[in-house]
Amino acid sequence: MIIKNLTVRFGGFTAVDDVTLEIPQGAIVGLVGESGSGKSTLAKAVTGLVRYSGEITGGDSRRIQMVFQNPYASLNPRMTVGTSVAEGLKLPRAARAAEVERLLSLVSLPAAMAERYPRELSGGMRQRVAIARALGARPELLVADEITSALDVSVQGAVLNLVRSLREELGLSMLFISHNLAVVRYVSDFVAVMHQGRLVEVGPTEEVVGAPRDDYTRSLLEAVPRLGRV
Amino acid sequence: MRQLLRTPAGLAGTILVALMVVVAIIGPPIWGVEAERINPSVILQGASDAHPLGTDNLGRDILARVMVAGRLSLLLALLTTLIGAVVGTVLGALPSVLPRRGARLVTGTVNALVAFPGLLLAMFTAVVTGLGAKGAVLGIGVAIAPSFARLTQTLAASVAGADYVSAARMLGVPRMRVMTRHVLPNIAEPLILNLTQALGSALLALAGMSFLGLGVQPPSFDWGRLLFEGFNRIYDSPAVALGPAVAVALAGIGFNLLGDALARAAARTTTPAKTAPAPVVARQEIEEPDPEAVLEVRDLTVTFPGGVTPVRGLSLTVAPGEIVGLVGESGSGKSLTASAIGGLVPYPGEVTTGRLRLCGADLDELAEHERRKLLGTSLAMVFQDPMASLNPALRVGGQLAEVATVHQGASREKAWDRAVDRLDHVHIPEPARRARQHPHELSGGMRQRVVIAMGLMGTPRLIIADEPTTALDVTVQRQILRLLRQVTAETGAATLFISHDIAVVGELCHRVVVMYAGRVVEELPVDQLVAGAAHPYTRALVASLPDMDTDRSQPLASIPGRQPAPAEVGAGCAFASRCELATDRCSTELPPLIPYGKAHQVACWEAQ
Repeated sequence: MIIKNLTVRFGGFTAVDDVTLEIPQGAIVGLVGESGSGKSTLAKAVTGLVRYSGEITGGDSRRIQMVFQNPYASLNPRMTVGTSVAEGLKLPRAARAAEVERLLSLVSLPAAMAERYPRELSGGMRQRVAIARALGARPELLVADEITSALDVSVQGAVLNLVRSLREELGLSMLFISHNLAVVRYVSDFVAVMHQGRLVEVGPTEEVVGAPRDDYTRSLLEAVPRLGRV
Repeated sequence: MRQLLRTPAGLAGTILVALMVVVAIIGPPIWGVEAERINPSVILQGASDAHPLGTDNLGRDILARVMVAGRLSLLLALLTTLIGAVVGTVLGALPSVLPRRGARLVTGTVNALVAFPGLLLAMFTAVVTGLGAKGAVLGIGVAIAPSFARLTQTLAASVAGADYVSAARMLGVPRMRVMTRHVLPNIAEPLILNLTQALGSALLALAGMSFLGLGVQPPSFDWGRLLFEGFNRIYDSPAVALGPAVAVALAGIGFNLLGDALARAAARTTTPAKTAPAPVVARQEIEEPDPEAVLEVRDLTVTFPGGVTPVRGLSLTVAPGEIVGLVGESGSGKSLTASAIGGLVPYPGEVTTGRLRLCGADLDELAEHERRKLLGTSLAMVFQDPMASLNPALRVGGQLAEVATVHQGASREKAWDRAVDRLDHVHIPEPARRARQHPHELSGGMRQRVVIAMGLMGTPRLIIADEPTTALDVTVQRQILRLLRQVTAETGAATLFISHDIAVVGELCHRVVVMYAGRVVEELPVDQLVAGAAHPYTRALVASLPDMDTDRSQPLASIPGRQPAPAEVGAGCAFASRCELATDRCSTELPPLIPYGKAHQVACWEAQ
């Protein structure tokens, strides 16, 4: 899927400025940037939640799904996990339960979870449910917007592992947005760096992280806190 | 329900409403005949033993008529409210379902109707639809609808922005279904609460219409009608009019009280389940105070009612010039520890300490004003949200200067100069200009610098920084960490740095204290963190953190399960259920925090 010349304006303010980005089939593209860089707006534009100019080619733009940052706000508190996951399914009623079970197993959740309500689940489990719900729509592209930022470190690892295994098992293409370079580096095949609405650097992960060409990328890399660096 | 009956207002409301319902049910069968019995020998009588509220112009007993009228009054009120609620909810929900232009039209109509006087709208509708109960019900119903529409619209708009609604839209769920499945169920509660109150108002409004002769027509009668008939006799026999008036007033008050109480009960979050009382923390013998330490905490416990103990017997020492990192996941009690040291634990939390010494003084033994003075001059606190420490209405320079005028008795000019000097010290460019600005004119990182500068107005002995960089970008975070390090080195203050981010702690601090479920599980020098950690939790935490050198071909470590909530912590090691090394002993017996090498302590039976 290719995002071409995408621009989002709010009044006189240009939040995303002429961004062109390719997300190859079956690859995870990490998008990093600081708050206000326009990365979340780009995600909303790609998923059709805000108006934009430009185009998205190389796939069905309606088959793009998103997983949100806050797992405590992205599930309807009055719906069971099963009902939430079944929402995007275009299947006859009889086939739904089996599909929900399959989707839950994809995100390593037991089938019994379908009967539970979100309030009974931990943040990491909720995030899995949100991923399962998005997978139900058979997306051509999954946009993950800061999906581990609201999680504790001990749970974050499991969600990141899940993201990687989904890519390997389902060949899922993904736009993985995070402010955390270490997290992006770990899951992504390609990294795109966004600054003040523009893409300043795009390339294979090892290249961008190992030999950054842009000054801003360098300053971002320099600022990543590291254990044992005093 | 139990909460409803606990407050006097809720209790009174419930009793009144129940009474009205009972009267409405049993009224007509019991007093029906008497209310209709015409008795020419006793017409227009005042209160007497036979007729406590007197009789009307046909000699009918008014008390009986009041009791019988209850059913009609309540039924009409109910019907009116339903009409208002249904019309209002549909009108309010339409903008979320209709296309943009239609939505704007409906919103405009509702806005216009809300601005229109309700009684006028009611009387207009009543006159158009014809005098009588039908007209009154429709009229009042139409008059109530706009406020319901407005409430629905506002509530729906707030839910429409929720992530789960966005998710449903992305999944292609039709708008109508989004409305019925996602929006309405999540706003039903306040709407239903509003219904109860609307019922009270409808009852009063209907009585008003009947009283004006626009409502129920004879031979039917409701309370308003009875009031109308009795009103011109109020000077000869007041009881005739007072009876129905009291009935209307009681019903109106009852529904309003009940509505209020319901709203309050719903707004209150569910109270935590009652559990066993807080486990008694084993008091260890407390050694002599450490004369070097700036901060010395022994056996700090924070308890909330219902056996919730988020901090359990925590001990901590911070030396001058030292930065100690307190690290833990959300819910581990690290922020409450900071609050307890600063005396900021919110009610009804209860703090007990074996010892709490700041700058060589026992805080527990100081008088209240001395304690405040000590905390005010020697403790600087930096929070995650700098706006929590800054007054948005005041210039930042003035807020800083206040510290000097209040605690140090400086003159205003001197205090202002010092403020500008301190702003300069935390590397704020153009400090004199910035000092005249308001907090909202500064960026997040700049505000955090201002808060640190505020702490530097005095000579802080202890700096407590609670997640000061969590809301900031990495590049700004770096600058703030550098500033904290510089300030600690210059002032020789002790710094307690609280964070969930073990990488940040690892980069900034000299010593690391790891908390889990309210207890310290390990305390170690920072250079031991990566390779020398002994507690399985610390090790798992370090392993699960991806950094810039993590092997991308290997899956990340993660810890199964979750941290127990403060009310769930059992007798043994709280980490036992998630620990690979756990034995039977771990789940029954609490491991003490014991020395494990140089400057290293660990609380684990299986530490290797």
